[in-house]
Amino acid sequence: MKRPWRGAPAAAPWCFLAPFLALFATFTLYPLAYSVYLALRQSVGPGVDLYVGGDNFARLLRDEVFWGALGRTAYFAAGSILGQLPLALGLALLVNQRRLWLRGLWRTTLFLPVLVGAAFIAVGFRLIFGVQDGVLNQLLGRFGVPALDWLRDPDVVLNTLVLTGVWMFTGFNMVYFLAGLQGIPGELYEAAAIDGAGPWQRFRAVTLPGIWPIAAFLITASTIGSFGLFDLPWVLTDRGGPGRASTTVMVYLYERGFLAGDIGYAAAMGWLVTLVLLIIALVQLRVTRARAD
Amino acid sequence: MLRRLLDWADEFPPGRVPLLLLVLALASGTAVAVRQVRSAPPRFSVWTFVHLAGEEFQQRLAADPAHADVEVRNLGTAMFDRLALAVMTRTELPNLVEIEQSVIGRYLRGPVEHIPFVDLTERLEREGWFERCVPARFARYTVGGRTFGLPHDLHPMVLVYRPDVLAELGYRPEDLATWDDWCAAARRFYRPGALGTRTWRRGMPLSTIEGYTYLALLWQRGGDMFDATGEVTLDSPLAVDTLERYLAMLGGDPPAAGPALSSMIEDFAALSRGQFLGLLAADWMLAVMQKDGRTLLEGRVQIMPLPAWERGGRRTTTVGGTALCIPKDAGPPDRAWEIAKLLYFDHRSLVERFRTQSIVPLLRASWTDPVFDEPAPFFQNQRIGRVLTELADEVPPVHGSPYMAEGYKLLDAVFADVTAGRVTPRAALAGVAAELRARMARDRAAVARARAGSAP
Amino acid sequence: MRVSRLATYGLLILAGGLSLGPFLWMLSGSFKTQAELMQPGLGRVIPAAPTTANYARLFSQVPFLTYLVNTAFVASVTALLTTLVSALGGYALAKYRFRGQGAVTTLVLGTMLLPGVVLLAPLFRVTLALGLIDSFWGLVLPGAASGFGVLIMRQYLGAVPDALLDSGRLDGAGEGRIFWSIVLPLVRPILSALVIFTFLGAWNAYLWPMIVLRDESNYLLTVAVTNVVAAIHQQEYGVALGGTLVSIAPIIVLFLALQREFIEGLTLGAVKQ
Repeated sequence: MKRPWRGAPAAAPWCFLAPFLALFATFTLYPLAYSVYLALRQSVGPGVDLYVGGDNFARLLRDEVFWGALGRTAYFAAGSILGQLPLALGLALLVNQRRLWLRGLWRTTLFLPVLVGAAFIAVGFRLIFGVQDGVLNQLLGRFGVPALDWLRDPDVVLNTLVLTGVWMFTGFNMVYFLAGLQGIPGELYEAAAIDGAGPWQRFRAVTLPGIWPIAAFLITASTIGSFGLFDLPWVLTDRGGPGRASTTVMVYLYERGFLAGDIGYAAAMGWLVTLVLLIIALVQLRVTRARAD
Repeated sequence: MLRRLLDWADEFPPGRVPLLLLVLALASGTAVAVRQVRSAPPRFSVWTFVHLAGEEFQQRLAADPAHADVEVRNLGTAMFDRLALAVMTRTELPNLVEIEQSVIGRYLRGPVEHIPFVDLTERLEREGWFERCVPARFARYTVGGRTFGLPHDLHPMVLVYRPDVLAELGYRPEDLATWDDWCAAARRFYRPGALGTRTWRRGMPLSTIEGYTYLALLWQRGGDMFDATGEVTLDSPLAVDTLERYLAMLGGDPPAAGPALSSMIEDFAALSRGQFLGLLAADWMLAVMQKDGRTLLEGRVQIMPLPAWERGGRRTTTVGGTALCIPKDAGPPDRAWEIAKLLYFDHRSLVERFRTQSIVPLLRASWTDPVFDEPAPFFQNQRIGRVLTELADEVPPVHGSPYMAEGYKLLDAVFADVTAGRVTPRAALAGVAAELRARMARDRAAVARARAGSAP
Repeated sequence: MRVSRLATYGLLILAGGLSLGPFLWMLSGSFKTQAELMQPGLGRVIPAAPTTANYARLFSQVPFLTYLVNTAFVASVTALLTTLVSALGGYALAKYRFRGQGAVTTLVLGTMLLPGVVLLAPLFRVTLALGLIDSFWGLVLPGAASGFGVLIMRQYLGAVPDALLDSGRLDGAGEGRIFWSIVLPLVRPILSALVIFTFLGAWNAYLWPMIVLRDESNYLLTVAVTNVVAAIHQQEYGVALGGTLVSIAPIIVLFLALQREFIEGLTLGAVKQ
């Protein structure tokens, strides 16, 4: 049990908390409440703003573009998790080997893309993805891979975004896995070796359980991060195009709320997406917990 | 020295890294403060999103001492986002803004009195501009009979081709008077091969994922997404038939057209390698081509009128367009109107615009200027100005609607499914039309309710 | 054994090449002329006719230096303010007992997992009402109250022994003095990590700066590179590549100098595992 110290004025904690509470109330709590109010209103053009009750939500449930955007966002999230995590774990295992020449350099090299913002990447990568003269197709063509229209083929663009995400974030996930691997006591491996376990069995019996909490965290973090995906589809694939092929929920929300000016619809969309995300997170938690037990 | 500095840095309770950032913050903060004190807001601002236009406006206004305080800003496509936010918040509005034709609709919805731009109809009538220009071009910026934008451009569309390639195939430009003629030639030109290789040949690139080329071809035939009263006509039999013929050009054995490449530059490069027989290009694109495709195409290409849908039919169409609009809340409009006319209707500006941006003006009187007879070295000394102005009166009208940008977006969203054969043209266009009508009805109802609510 | 080592290095070289390849391609491209960049084919790693014209144009036609300074200012102030506010708040929650403590903690925890998507629209209206549109403070302040930061700081500050604080009090130091002079030096690693984490986030942010900033002399690098540079050089790609590289270079230099802090900063999320 802690006790209030003599000499520590009762107001002291509130003084320390004051800056945080003031900012938190202004920029998180109040907007949160305000967005409930907004979600019940509709604007048409700059001059008309009226109360519509649950109409925004009713429209959202019927809005095919919204559900399409949600589906694409979920696809990106799933693609990111499946594409990044196994790769990141593999690289972490490689870099974590005890006798590795230039270990620091490899780690640095693989981590470097994490530093670059998506907006910069989108500008830098645009030419790389050209269908006819782009570097990627030219390179793949040498190995006989047929040309893909990375940025303009509606059936391909989402995968282009996933692929770009893999380039950006694999190093990030790798560092997490490395931290997890380094937290596994060496005795466990020794004990397993004494029991006659081979490399694969050691991986299954010692490594995987050891890093599972990290993996669970990364899955949740990737999912939440994916639902905020905006920069890449906005800049790299030209405002969520072609057509709607890379329109994510964030792109659609920005488009409706800030460009078409119906901020009430955007607010309602924000709430619905939060609800969906909450359900996904709960399901993931269930699954990862069950896996851990 | 460095050691002592580091020791001293260690005295800072939060440590070296925060101290480093503190130094950075103080230094950059000083620079920011100095800059913000020095820069005064401009007294009169003009926004555009076209780079060439920005330079040209600035030069034109700088040459006029009366307008020395005008600041022209080229904001790129980000301008549309900036403008939307500025209109929504009624802050930091430009005094005059150049808007792309499909985007203006966003601002024209809702009750007329809430439209954030100055109604130019009376000024245009009083000063006789409707008669002196090609009147069809005002249609895009007009809603409910009121015009909110001042256009300057016609944007006739032509075909860019390599004369040597066409001759080798055994054709002269005048042999290609209809799309059927063109398709026959294109099918003979065709060679198979995968994208990314140098062996394929296609008649011309047509977008398989976006609807803008289809719409341009629909306009050429006299169809449109909306009619003059603003009602949706995208599901008309003419529109359906045109889309079917568009698909027939992309399909067929061998096909008469291929999918558009990733960028204009890639299209230019393929034309220069003789992989495309021709490219569709509006007047402004000829300037882009001369700038960005110089190393690829200079002295190797010419232009010709588009093949017509019917023999003797219209030999051109149009793509794109800009208008100057005056935001209502930005201050008194008279000066903005004068500057708008100076930039858009002044003979000298228009001639200069053709020289730098190859844009054919809306004002009939300017077509007689000698600049339109100058041979263009890039196009093998062809007099491209004459080719374009001769097509000027044939440019079809395109009707404006507050829902134009949404219509484009909806069409784009379904277009790939149409070209892939997953949806029939009839069903796709009917779907887009129905969605547009539903949105329009909903907004009308909301406006009616708001009106009823605000009435005492 | 030899085979596996060969495979290890082979895979690492492949992964490292894929990781660095785009950087090298951008670097080489930024020194190429437009004509060479547009040449079909793979192109050369070392430009045929290297030119610095792209960089010259970047700084002469666009106020790129201004964007660098703006970004440095916003990112450093965001990082410092967020860390300070988090440390203060985390300290109160970790080292004091007071009425309402549980409520504050619950509130912070409850809102921490909210996705940005729900706050975007209302936050814009609030920022507008406070007159912070087109102001750097409109970027700095909304993010400064970080629930994540407070919880992380609370956890680390909880490990500081109470005895140290009490001995400070016995020496007559005020509560603020104790926090600044005794407590902060003990948690320098986490302070550095949090500073770097928020600095990187602010440097790379795109959507919110795009919404908040109006005047293009106030732009940050993300907005400038995607909008202004792209607008002026729609097809002059070397300039865009140069702009991208100049924008990421300071971060990379900082990273090479402070690798440990970076990695700790970016793995903060795992602390609670």
